[in-house]
Amino acid sequence: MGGSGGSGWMRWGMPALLILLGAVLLLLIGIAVGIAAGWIPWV
Amino acid sequence: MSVQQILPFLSTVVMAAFVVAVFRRYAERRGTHLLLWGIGLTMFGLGSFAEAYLAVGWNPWIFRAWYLFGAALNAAWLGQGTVYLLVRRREIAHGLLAVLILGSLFAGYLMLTTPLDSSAYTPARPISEQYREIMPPRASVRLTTPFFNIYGLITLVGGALYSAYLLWRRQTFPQRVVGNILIAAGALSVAAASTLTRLGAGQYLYLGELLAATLMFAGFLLATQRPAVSTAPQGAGR
Repeated sequence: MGGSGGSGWMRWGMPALLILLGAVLLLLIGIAVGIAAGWIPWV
Repeated sequence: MSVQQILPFLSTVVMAAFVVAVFRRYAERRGTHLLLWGIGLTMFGLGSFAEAYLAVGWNPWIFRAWYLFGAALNAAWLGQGTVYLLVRRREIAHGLLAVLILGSLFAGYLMLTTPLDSSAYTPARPISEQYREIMPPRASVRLTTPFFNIYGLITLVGGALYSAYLLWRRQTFPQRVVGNILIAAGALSVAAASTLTRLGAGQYLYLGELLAATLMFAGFLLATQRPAVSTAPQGAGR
């Protein structure tokens, strides 16, 4: 974590992972909205 | 039976254990969020069970259960649990639950009235690759699934990531940070597989579901581990 006792993984790895997963979330929401709106063709 | 066809059997076993763990926690602690997670996970498990069943034989009711619970509803109900966990204003959570119940009943009605072409079924292919031929083109119930899944994505994954962020910032309970990240990653894996299925690549769905079941169960166990410190943080640790 961000504190003095935190490892590098918790200090930097976790927020990087959160940002990455957040980006995947936004991408999937975008695709789902595109499908619902009819902008993305589906079968 | 192909290796891919075996995956839903594994997912069903993992989900059964997961459902029992969540309902046991609900029996101990109560909490609407645990009840709704239990319901959502039961739906997920029913979807996996239906896939396993349909790998062996045909039954129209099992197919309907697969589409309704496995494809349409489970993510939204899981996400509704997270809404009850994170949204402090109860009237908002109650209102969203009312909309979800009405929407679920409507989707159930549409699924029940959808004619199915049983002759298109073959046990040789995963149901995720052949359901389009069994259901009529552009069946009404299929138009409802993106709305449930968008709601489920935002609430379940967004809620888990938000909880992980809060816990990380507070510098407490690293296992709960990891637990929430695993829950988010698991939900994203099945969401990505579902999206690919919707776009015509159904061969990844079973793997995505097994990954999701395993990651979310591991995340739940980590996030609900009894902490050594007594201060209770927000998030999926309740």
